[in-house]
Amino acid sequence: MHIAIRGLRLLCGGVALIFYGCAHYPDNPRLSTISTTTGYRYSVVRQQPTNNKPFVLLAFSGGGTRAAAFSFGLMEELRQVEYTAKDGAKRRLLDDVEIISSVSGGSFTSAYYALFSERFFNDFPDRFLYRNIQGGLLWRMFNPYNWFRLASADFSRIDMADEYYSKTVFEGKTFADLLAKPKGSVPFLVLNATDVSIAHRFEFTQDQFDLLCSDLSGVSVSRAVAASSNFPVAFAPLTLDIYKETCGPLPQWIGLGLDRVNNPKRRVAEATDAQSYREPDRLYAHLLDGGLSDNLGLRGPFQAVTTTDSPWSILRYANLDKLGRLMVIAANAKTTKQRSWDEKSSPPGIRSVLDVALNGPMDDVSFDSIEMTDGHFDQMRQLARTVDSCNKRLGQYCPSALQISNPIRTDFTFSELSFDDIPDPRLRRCLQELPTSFSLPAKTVNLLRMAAGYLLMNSGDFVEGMKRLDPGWLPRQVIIDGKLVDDVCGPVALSASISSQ
Amino acid sequence: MEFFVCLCPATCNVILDGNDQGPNKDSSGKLRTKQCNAGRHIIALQCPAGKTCSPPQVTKVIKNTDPISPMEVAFQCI
Repeated sequence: MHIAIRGLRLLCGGVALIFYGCAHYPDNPRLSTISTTTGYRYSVVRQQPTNNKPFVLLAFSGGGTRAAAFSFGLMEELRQVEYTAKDGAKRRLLDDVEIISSVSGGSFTSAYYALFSERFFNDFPDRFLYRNIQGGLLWRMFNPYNWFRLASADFSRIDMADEYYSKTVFEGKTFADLLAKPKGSVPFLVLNATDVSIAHRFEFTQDQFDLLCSDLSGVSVSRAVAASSNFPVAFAPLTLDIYKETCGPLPQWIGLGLDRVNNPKRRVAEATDAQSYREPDRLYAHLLDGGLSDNLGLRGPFQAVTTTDSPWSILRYANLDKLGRLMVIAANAKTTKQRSWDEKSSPPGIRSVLDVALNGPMDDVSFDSIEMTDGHFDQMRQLARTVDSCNKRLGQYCPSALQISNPIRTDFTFSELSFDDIPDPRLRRCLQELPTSFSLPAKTVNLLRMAAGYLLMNSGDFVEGMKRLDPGWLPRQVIIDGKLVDDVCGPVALSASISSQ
Repeated sequence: MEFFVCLCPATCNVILDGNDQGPNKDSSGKLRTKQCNAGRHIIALQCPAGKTCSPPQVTKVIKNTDPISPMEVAFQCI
């Protein structure tokens, strides 16, 4: 009898293992023919920009719930920024947001806004920010039902996370749902992950999926967010299928960009990476956290602003004379840990070294992205001034000569919101030392939201840009609640003793 | 950043690497300088209906330009 029961149990276990062991990640659908007038592309989901209003581009960094709350705080503040347009009408700056490019934790905020903009401000805090997402993920991991599924080579922890995000946050919505929204009603969403084989940025847009001959419309938004926030080691890489049946040619710039002699190295690298998806031996793409290639979400926008190669080239709109004002605002939730390793002769432990090995390069890339964007805007302003000065001189010394037309007619503003710019050292240190996690206390979330509003209203670059847009505009005074700071960072005396340790 | 102009007696849209970059001249007939990234590009003009661009397209390496002296690319609509 006992042998029969044991046999039956073994049989059931075996059947379950076979059944669940066949668990498979959701395949991204095949695309038969590329059409640049369909699919989730900037030109399909947004109206062409005009000179009448600013082109606002937001970049949300990674950093778990810390980044999600910080970027949410930026959105809350932007909702309150009203200016008077040239025609005298009052406009909200939030309504001028054309593109949101995000990474990891910031992708939860951007994707939720793009999907549910009408209820975003009411819903998102409870749906995500105050929720113990980490606990939910762990609970699923320890559920025996999932052990069998995880036994499959084609189903991993990230696919489980995707299911969880889909069910609890994104309501099973796909990119087809984003496409179904009225044109121009919500910003174009660029969710960034990293393709680990080529260590390159991978964005969830149809332009990128064209390279894979795949239709993004059939992919869930949660899957893109899962890829974007797919932290290494905690999760396995997320897999996408690359189809080898021809769906159409590659964009023209890729062939041109492969010429190593006549192109800058960056263009050659971009073209080589883009072309790699059509190599016969690349059947799958494996994706990890977008932060590994760009933890700020700024690389895509930088390419769009500086090249005509980008599928959503913003430079092209400058050529079309439809880019009067470009405002880029980056919510950078990076942390800066104070380390006391050099006080002792013994080297830091393996955990500390791993932390540096993983986060150090990401911070360097983010720093470079900020410098590159800021530097580019400075260079463009300088070039524009040079032409103006040249024309002035021509007018003075050679009035009969033809004036030179100035091709740079865009007003550039770049604002980076970072904890480093919080003037109060106690609060700055407290925010800089917050953990990267998908669960934060509600008060910490509230403090982050408030800090984002404060930083925007105290950003010299942003205020100057707004004043050029509307000379009568004045920043709102944002005061960070001292009691909240005490609750999150500890009372002043305690914080002082912590920082002196 | 690099700069170029397309010389042509007619007013036509500039096509750079397959993408429309707007007309080569403004309404007063003054050449409009276009911006692009450095490197090898294919430039073409979309001539008015009934006319064809000559040459149909040109491949140029655009580099070391500035807004005061953009690269000049000449076309005809015939």
